[in-house]
Amino acid sequence: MASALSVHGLVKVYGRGKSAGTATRALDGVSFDVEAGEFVAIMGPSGSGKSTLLNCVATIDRPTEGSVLIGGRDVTGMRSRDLADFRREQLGFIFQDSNLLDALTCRENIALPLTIGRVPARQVVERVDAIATELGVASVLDKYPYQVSGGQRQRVAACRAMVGGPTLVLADEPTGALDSKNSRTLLERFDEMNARQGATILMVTHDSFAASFCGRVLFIRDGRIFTELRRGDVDRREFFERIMEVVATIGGGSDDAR
Amino acid sequence: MLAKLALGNVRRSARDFAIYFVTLALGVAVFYAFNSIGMQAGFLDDYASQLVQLIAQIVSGITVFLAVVLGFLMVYANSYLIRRRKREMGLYQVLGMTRGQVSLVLTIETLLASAGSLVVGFALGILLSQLLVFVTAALFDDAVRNFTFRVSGEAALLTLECFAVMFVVMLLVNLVSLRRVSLSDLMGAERANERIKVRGLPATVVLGVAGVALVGLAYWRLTRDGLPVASTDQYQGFLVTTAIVVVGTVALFYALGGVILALGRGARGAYYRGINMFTVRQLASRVNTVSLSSAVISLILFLAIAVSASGFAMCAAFRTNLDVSAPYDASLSAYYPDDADPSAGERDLLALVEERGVDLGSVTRSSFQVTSYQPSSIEGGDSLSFSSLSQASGVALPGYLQTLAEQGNERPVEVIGQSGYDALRRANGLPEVDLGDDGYLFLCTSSKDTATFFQGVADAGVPIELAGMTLHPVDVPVDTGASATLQDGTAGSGAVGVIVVPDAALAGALPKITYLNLMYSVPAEQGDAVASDAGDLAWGDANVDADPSDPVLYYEASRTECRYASVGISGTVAYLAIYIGFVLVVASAAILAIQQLTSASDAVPSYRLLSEIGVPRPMALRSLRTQIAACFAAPLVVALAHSAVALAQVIKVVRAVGQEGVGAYVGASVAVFVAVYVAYFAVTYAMARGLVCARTDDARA
Repeated sequence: MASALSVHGLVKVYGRGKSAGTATRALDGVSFDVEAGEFVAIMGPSGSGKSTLLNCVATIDRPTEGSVLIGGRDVTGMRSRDLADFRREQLGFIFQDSNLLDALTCRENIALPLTIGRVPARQVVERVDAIATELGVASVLDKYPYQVSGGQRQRVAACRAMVGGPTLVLADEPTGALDSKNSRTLLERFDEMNARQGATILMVTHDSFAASFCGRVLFIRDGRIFTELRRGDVDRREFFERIMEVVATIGGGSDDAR
Repeated sequence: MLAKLALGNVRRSARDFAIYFVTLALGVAVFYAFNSIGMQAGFLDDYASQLVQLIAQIVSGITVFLAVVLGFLMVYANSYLIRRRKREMGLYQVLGMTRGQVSLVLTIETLLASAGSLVVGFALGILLSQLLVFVTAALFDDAVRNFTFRVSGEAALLTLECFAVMFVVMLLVNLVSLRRVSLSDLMGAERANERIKVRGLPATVVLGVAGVALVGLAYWRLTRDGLPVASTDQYQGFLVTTAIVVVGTVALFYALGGVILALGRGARGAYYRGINMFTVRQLASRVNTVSLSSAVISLILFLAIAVSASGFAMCAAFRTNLDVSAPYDASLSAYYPDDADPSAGERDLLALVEERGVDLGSVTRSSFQVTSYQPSSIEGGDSLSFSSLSQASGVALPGYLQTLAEQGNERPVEVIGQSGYDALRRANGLPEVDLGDDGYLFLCTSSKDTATFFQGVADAGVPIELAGMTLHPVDVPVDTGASATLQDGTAGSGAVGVIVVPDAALAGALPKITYLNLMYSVPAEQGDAVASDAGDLAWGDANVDADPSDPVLYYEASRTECRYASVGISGTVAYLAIYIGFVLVVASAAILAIQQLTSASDAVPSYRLLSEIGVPRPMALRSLRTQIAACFAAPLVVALAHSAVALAQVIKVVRAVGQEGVGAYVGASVAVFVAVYVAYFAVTYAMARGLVCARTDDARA
């Protein structure tokens, strides 16, 4: 299978001097690949660089060094005008606080990426209905975001991220603001979308439970890939146990024990 | 410590304070500048100076009204500021500050910002008032004499007092609003989801139909009734019309959001293209949340446009026609007592004045006199009046003459002879008009409508019976030029209408008035001095001591005086129109600007999100521009529609008492207003764009 995402030698330095002392190396040479159709989680303690990594992949931030290839195209050198088109056509975003536009109904929020891409109106309606049914929010399409529950909002946001059939869906702590029941619903839907539609999803999370739905988990610490776990054929519960073991090794270790 | 916190706050949220600051400074500047007009009198010569002082008195009256408008603006700008900082206020309380202390911080902050803007406003106002000296001079056709840089203590004090009162009001509003909300509301202010106000389709339809119907009804009523200038009865109706248009406008703006949404969604292809649905939704929700204030702004704009356009129209009416209304260097007139001896006939005024010790002849190059008669003193002329002419011809009297006739105050017709008219024609360098043995001709300089009336009567061929003769209209158009002016005066001050008849018809009749018109042989200043001496004869004992059968001198005017009077009136009117109009437009545009900037900054997260999901920046900015433009345009369009209907009536009135050509002035003043307004829009968009761009860029850093 082709690589949906290929990150190579990614370095991100914050601070003026970019030399030791004044500068912070948020990413310190991160390399990994995500195959098309994979569901990958990135885990790590606070300050490990996982959000910076996601921002670099999302083209919202520019890395200091290294390359990010999405669908075979290097996005690090792209001009900002091309980036807007690229984000719209190749990427889908899901944020922690669903980030829907308050002024639009759920249906219109989902339709937005399509309308921007000049998809004909009739097709827009069809595709919105299809993806909303898939993610179980067809009944709330004509409501405003503030009229639906947090879980539904997050699933609407997922619809918006996926409706355009992006090369890569990026999710930043998508379950962060949800209770466990809604988290589970959302993750199961992700899993289904991944399995049935072959959606490639890269999810940043600090929640082992959320990560256990994925096929592979990348652990990141101090700006580097610490280790990687593959689910293989084990069931979700067992995979969860194994994730917990790794978290126990690095999670508390780097931040709290020192 | 609290003061330090307050100072820090003002510095930190400079951008938020900027709007408040600019609004306040602008208000102070305009307020001071216009109130300092009394001071400007010192720069002008005596005559203009008196007028300017008169205006100063009127301005200080109107100032109270404008202070209220500006006060409303300040409170509005301030509450915008407080709303943006609710969470901060909450945080202080969570950290253990008492409400009293928070209030104190707030007070100090407001004081700092207000004091700063007061200083800047005064500085601007003082500069502006120096400029205004020249504007004033131009308006009064005067030159600025002995110009020095001056500050008016009186105006400064008045401004200070007004703003002190407003400041206290504002403070109270702040404290009350702070006291009324709970801490959890304060803290949650930022996080609370923006509730979208949507009115249902039925409500929209009802409101929209009601709005259109009411506004239409008001238009129809105004067009039918006209402005309430003729009688007080009309005033009631006018108030009703005003109330209807106010209610209708409010209803229209309440419906507008829903209409935008319905139209937008109706065009499905366009709605689901680009971020049009975002634009439509955002706009509809903005319009809905500010519907009442938009309606108010629209009405204020309407008021501003109507006031200044009518001001300019009147100004033009008073001003334009001095060539027709005062064609001679000076005029003098005298009337004959009712018991005067008809056989003595017309008297020589030049000789009469010289008898009494004023030698007008010494300054006169040429002179002529015209004598007018009243129909009642001519045999068989008793029944000749405007009403009888109207009845005989079937042509309706112009509005104001009709009203006067109904009130029993009909103005008398004046009649002059062929020889008098010949003198008028010659004096104005025009060929004589021969009436023949039984012709008559109308002269009219009072108004276009009246002239049309006379033309109608002449066209109908109405015969006039006088002194046993039957006169018929000659085939010459009604004379409305300088040769129809019997004596110098300001525009519209002459006789309503004059009938020229053959001299034979006036033989033996008692004259009513003799007009003496002079052209000087000397410079105007010298001539005016002598003419004014002759005029004084009308006031002194000369009239009393004179032979009782002599005509009584009662009027003297020079072209110089007429010019001053006309310029004085037009200048006064224009000045007030500019003042009121300017303040109103600035105030309403400032409110709109504040609203739009608030909404743009509230919408920053939306624009950030749009950028993240791949909306190109030009597309997002286009949407922003459309929204702001629509919010600016809606009140303006409605105000312009109202103005068009109202100004049509104003033009009608001005034409009735004055001249044509005011349409151009009205158009020009409306254009200036629209230009100011558009400039405000451009600045607002630039600021909103800066806001959105800066904060979406922040997100990427």
